[in-house]
Amino acid sequence: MPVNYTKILYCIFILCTLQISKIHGQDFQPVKNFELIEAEINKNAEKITTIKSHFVQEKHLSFLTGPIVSEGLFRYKKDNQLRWEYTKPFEYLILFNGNKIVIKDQRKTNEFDAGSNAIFKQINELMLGSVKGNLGKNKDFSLSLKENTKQYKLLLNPQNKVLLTYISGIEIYFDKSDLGVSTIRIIEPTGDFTKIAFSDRRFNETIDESTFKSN
Amino acid sequence: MRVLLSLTSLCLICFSCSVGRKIEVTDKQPILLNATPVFRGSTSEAVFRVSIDLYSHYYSGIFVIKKESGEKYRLVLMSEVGMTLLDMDFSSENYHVNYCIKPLQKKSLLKLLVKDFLLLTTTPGNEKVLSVKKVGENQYLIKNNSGRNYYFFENEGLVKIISNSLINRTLVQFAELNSGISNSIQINHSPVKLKMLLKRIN
Repeated sequence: MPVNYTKILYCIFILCTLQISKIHGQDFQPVKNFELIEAEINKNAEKITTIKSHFVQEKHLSFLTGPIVSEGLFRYKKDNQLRWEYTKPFEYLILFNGNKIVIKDQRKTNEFDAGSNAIFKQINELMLGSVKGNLGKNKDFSLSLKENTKQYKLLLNPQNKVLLTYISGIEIYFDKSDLGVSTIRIIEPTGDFTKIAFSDRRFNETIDESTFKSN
Repeated sequence: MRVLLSLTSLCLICFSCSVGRKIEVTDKQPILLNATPVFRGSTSEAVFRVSIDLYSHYYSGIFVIKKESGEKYRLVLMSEVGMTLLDMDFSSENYHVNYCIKPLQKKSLLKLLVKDFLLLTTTPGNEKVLSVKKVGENQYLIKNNSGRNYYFFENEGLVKIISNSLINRTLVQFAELNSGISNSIQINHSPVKLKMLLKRIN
């Protein structure tokens, strides 16, 4: 059977093109007008009164063959109400309501004052800050912004010694299409990381007040 | 003469003690050489959701355990939101902490965890065992350097371990057994008021 070199060359060309576009698509470059884009993200966040979303969390540990995957529902209501609910493979609920944090699993419900613990305070500020778009106001992090054709990547580097023992960096990805948060990557001092990807995001739909109550 | 008598008595006491403690390995059944019900089939990784009751405090999180080369293990405890709280390597010889948040940096707690996970993962009739004795139908008493462990078997495999050491008693119960693999493991300590329930999620 004669070998069709043209076809082979064509296939190689297609494969190379696909590979190059894939690499290019993930390649983030520093933005030149950081303040302008930050203002744009914040302006967009101000218009958001509610967010409904599904999320998939992947915990990547270097020694495991695959990530530990969990998923659930995310609900946000302006100004500071947030429901972070794991539904698979276990049930676990975190509620941020004003200055209160409620953590509930199948056995117990615990309530904390967000300001009573430095870590809770940071988590509260991070979670709400990323959806409200006011992370730039958090003095515990230095910020830098990168972009590719589809996304902005906001890099947060902890400047606080306590935080540095838990986190070496946070990456927040904003889709350019709607300037909403699509992915968060939390990198630990060991290099292991947690990736949270949001899907089916719906903005400014009605969310009942009971969503932010544990009962 | 008095010194000689004392020395002879001491030797006799020591000799009699060592003879009394040495028990022959008379009944090392094949069942004791089977792996514990932690790792599924040929896999060497297991992930459990854990709830911990320590005195009046309640904690929860996720335990990841991986069998590495030989009898070495890697153990990670993390929160549900993915934050690593503890990362350590351990074997029956020693342990090494790779990462640990400050509130968990307590030697006694880490030692207890290592001991618990060694009970969960180590093959009952391993080569470190000093003696094995059949004490009942499908019940074995195994002595090793850290204490005396009673292993209870049923048709499905290992269902219970009672471990007695000088100051601590540990009860491990393997439930929700499926083809000899447990999907629910309960660990109770006494007199230390520590209780852990592990539910398999992977």
